[in-house]
Amino acid sequence: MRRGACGVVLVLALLSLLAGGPATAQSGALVVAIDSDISSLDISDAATFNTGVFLGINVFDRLFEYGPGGLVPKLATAWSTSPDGLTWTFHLRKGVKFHDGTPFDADAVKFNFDRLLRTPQLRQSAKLRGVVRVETDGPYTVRVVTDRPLPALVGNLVHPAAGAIQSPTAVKDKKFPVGTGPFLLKEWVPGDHILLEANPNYWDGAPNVKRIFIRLVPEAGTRVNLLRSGQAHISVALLPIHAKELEGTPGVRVVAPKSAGWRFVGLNNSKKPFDNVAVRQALNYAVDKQAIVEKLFLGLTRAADSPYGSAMWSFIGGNGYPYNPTKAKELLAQAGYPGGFEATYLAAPTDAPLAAEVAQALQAYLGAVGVTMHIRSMEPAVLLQEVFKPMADNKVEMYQYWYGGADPDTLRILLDSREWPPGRNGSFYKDPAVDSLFEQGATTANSAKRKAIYQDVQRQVMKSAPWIFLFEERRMDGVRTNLRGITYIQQDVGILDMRRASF
Amino acid sequence: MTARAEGPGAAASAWSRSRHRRRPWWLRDTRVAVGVLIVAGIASLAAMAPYLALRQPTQIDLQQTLERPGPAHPFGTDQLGRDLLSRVVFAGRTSLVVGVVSVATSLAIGVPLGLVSGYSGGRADLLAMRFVDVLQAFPGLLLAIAVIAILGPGILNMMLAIGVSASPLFARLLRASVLEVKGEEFVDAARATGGTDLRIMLRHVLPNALAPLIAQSTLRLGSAILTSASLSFLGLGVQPPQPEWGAMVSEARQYFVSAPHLIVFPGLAIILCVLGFNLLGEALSDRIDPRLANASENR
Amino acid sequence: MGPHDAVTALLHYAAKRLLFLAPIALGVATVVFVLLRLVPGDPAQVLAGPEATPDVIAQLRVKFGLNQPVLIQYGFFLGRLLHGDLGLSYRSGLTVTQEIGHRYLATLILAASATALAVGVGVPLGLAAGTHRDSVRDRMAMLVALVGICAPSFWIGLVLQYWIAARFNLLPMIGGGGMAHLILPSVTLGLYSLASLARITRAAVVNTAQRDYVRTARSKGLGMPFIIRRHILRNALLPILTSIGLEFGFLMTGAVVVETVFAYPGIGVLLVQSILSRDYALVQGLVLFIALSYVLVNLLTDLLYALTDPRVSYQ
Repeated sequence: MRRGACGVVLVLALLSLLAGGPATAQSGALVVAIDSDISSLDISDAATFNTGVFLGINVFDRLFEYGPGGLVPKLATAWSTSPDGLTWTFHLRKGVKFHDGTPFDADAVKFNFDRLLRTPQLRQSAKLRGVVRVETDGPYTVRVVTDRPLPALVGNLVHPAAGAIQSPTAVKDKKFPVGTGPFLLKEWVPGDHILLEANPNYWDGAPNVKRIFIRLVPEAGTRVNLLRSGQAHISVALLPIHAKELEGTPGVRVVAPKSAGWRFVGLNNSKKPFDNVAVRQALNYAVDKQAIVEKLFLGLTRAADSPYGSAMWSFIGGNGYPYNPTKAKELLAQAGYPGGFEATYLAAPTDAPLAAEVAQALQAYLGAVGVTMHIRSMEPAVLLQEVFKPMADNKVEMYQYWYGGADPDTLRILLDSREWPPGRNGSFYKDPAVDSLFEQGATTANSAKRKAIYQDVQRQVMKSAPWIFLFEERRMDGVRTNLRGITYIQQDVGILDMRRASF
Repeated sequence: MTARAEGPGAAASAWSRSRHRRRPWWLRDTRVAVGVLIVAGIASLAAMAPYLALRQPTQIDLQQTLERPGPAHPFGTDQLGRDLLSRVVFAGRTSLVVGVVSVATSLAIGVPLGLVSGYSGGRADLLAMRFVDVLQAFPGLLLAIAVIAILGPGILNMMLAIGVSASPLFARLLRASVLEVKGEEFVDAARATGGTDLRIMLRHVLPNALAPLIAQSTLRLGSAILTSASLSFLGLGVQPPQPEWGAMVSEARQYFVSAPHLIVFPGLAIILCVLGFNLLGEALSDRIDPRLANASENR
Repeated sequence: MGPHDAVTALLHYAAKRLLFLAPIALGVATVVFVLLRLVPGDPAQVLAGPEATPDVIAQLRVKFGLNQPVLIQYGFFLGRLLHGDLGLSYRSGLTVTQEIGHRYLATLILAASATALAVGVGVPLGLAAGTHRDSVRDRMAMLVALVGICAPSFWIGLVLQYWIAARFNLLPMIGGGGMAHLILPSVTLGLYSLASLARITRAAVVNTAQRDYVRTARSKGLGMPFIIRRHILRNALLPILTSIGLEFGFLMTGAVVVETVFAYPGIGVLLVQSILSRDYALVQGLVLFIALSYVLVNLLTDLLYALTDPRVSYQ
């Protein structure tokens, strides 16, 4: 018996030697637990939020970024727009090198922008829509020429993925990711982890943290427990219940930045009964968003009274739909559906916090007014493929989605009639008034006028209800208190910035 | 072997004889009792569930989320305010249905296969047994998972998948019974008096095979319930909001700290249910062939 | 039989078993091939994944000969298999073999340590229970074992993870890393096998203990430990050994659930992820891999069986 026990221990010890590996990578590193994997090492083809946050921000720089006081120069030291608004001139920083030694210069910027313009398959290419050509004027000056005034260009250039500048040499050799940023990518094991190492030659000073170990932990409860036990220093995408649980836990704090992002139920406006605005409004009255916010999200976000989240510039609230199931039933009856109808809702539970619970709550609320909603759950990649099929092949009726951006023009991608699939307007929404407002907003340089235009957009969109508006999409992250220098870039849903972290 | 060929009657008298032996049988006697009690209890609860004074398992109430067990909700409520007790009971219904349909599928595939294989002999037999070998070359969950990968997640596909992956067992069982009967002399005698082969099979093989079939089916039922809980836990089986024990545990993972009751109760339900079927099934198979007592591998 | 003859006989036996198993392996590959063709839709689109553009799909169609008759496709499929080419995972762009690569080792290690645990604890437990039949010790052990085979592994895993790892921080919560990260997943995975082996061992011991020659030995006054070692264990070894071989195969698939609970970087999680994201090339490769490993393990167990059982003739 004793021999048997010895044998077991010996075997286990041998096995553990073989099993060793990433443990050593973790020592001394900043450990981050994330909810979903990066989608690709080619940052210009990034498909998910996490790709931008963890790869885009750390391994690459952009021309500028949002800071507490406004735009902060990064790879561009100064910039200006011509009086007619059609030419943007950027003066670039000197003495910067990519991780592979290639010098950063105007040609590099031109290469990146040209690549986005010429390769529509790249998922970030849509962000440069409106740019006609890119010219260099000496090694440190770049001119971007657009076909109309494009104030939204700023928002796209600060985008973690779309605005990232890659090394032309590396891209030509198909080596990804090579940027100018404070960290290099040491290792990516898809579905498991990402290992970043500090770039000692970073032009803005080497980072304090030598290594960042980003672990994929799809389950929220596990992420929280890792944070609580100190096995992770940062855990992202926590649930509201965890925020409550962590209250009063020494050594941990929860950060929930105000957000410009929003979650909604997309409705296929080209299919009956969703082609009827009364039906869409009825559905909005049928769902008690306040209860969802208070009970599922424990009051940690706010119910949608605008298509934008409250941190979006030009945000105006007060146009929401209060909970009114009686009115919902009336509207349905008026629209010709007194007995309700049946529809299928595509959900992607792993794509957003509490998505499964929200789906089931929706099912219950809609059921109460006679609408039978069937839930089909799937992986995000599959949902995207189904939702953004061109109209002829598109069988989707209702779907889960959330979105965000740095500039109000970002809504155009979801609601402009020119962006029907294969674009991102999965609801096949078409309102000429709104289209024209988008057009104006995109080309008006005057700040005050622009704000007014987008406020009109918000009012009009809320009235015509292309979606069931739900709530502001807020991130909730947990951070150990012994970690300093963690900030959030105030755009989109709030972008985690670990570059200046230190213990 | 001889006990089986003599039919259930022989087993019964063997049992009554052994009642007068000491401990081992007394132990088995308890197992049958407990097993029957559990299975009968669960079955009746499941059958009567809609008529009992339970709340709707899919009724959400956002004002009462994550309540601890108490007088209003004996098992507490879940993250959408649904009553856990009723969900656990209705999930029992689902589990029983899944178990029965899966086993029925296995029988529907395995019994004819084994019958034909054993009776025809020769190349058909060889081919059929090779096919069964290939199916059994996929260990445990794998074949079920592969079938679900093809058909897509869902309760119907899951029942089919589990049924297919367990059918080799029944095929072999039937084939063994057929071969036993085939060797008997009365087969020739029966043929001589004008009985068709089919009749012989049905009259002699089926009674011979019935007892082990029942025993294996009971064991398979428990195993099917366990498998379906695991598959639903992984997201490959029953889809929300239909209540299923494994799926409920999966949904409740993130609430473990605040609401452990959401994981404890469904888990205990699974253990109890599978225990009942295992006890019953093992007691049955022991009665049939005491020499195989405790040595049968139940998957 | 001299040692030289014994080795030759064993090799003959091994060759025979291999010959028997080869068609099984072929059958497994065929079943997987057929299963994949059963997925509704255009096979090229299916393999390319939900995000593929039309030209990628067209490329794939040519590359895998999907416009050819089915039998030819089957031939190509087998040919690629022999070269170790299992296709491409659309999500990561890596080949299936690359994706499986080190993850397979991780799952193997998990299954091996679970087996070691199951054998190291389960067999002695069954031995103790069997040799002290009907004692309190026996009944308790068998009761625990009974519950052990009824409890779902995901539940045990979650409970252990919460109490030991999260609440009291005694062990790491998730897998991947050194020995400490292996403990909870191995215990969870091995529990069912432990219980099962304990019961089988007990039965084998009880069975053997009833044989005449043991009774004779006891009547001669020989002590139980001696009898256990000499007779009981040797004869009980056979059913135990076969069970271990079977267990290992089941553990490979049981790992799917345990890896999900502990975020352990093995092929189990990969299998579930690939099914949910419709990465059919990866699913196909994984199913094939696991099934063929199982066939191999069975072969090895057969050989071990033959080696240890003097009664088995190498015919």
